[in-house]
Amino acid sequence: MVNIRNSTVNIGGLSFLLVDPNPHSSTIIHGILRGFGAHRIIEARTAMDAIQALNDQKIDMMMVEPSLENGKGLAFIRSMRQDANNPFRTIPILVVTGDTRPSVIKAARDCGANMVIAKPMSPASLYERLTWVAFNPRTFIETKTYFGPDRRFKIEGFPDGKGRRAGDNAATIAADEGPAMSQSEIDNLLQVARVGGS
Amino acid sequence: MANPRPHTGNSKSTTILAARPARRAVRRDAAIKRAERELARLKPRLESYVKAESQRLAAALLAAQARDIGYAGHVGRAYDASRNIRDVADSIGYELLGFIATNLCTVIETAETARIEYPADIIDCHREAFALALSSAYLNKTLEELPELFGGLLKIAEAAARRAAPPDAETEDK
Repeated sequence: MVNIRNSTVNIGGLSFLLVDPNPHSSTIIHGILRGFGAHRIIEARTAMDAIQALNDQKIDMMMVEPSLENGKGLAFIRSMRQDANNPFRTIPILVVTGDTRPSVIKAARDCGANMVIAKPMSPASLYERLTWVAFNPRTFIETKTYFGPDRRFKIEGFPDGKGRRAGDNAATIAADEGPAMSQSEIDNLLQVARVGGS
Repeated sequence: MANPRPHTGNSKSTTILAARPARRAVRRDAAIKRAERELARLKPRLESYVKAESQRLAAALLAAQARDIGYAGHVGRAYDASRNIRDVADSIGYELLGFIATNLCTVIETAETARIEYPADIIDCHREAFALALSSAYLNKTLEELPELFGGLLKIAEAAARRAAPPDAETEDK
């Protein structure tokens, strides 16, 4: 099992798009990400700005506040996920919200977000969520009503090493093998990942 | 019902994020320290914002307390200001202010979810708590330093939630 406290996520080469109507709240996330080593952070205040940014720049991860466009932030995510022709439909999306009512969290999960982060956030909590997303990639699921990361969470690791499901027992993470990827290798892979990029 | 089928789509971004320890990666503790320094640098600007939103909140709550025409509108404005404070205050060390803002948001959201009238007495109570939290003696206090206030406001929010709960839910508990 990954030890999050000792983990290292290299976000220096990634581009983040913060979609938040409140510039001050966005400033906090921007500052934290900069502290983590991110250099490419773009802020958008409206859904249109966000779409423009996605079209204009290489974006690796989005953070969206549900209060966007008078509460249509989650609808914006859903529309991105549902549109089979949208080249960004599988981009990792984190919902960042101070409204932690169960109904809001459930709606965020069901719109296709990878993760929900509660505001106010501390650098430690954001780091841990990013680590979680990094080390726990989830298969995307497509049904008639949903497109997004698999919403079922598998328990990983038990004190005695035995789970009730066959899949639980298989959930061990291999030890790191070989040298880490270089930044140019990461950039090359991302370039391939971008749809529409030639 | 259609079987969910895994998507073998185009994005490798998540996996790439896990392209862990590259040479230039910053370790967790160092990254968090650096982020905290960034927040400290932003603090003066955010403090001014929180104080301005607090004034906006106080004005909205006063108007609401006077039971002016448009009570819901005043509460709506109070909610917006309170949400803005909630999202920022804790990050710059105004723990008490952040807590009161969170509590007020919860009270208003609970009333909205249950589609009941806003609990005016509880909202008034938060106005006084905000005034206290903004005073220089309390601005930088932590919740641990003020257990009575912390506990009292929590109880008030719980009371609001009980009021909002459907009557049969309460009897079922008994």
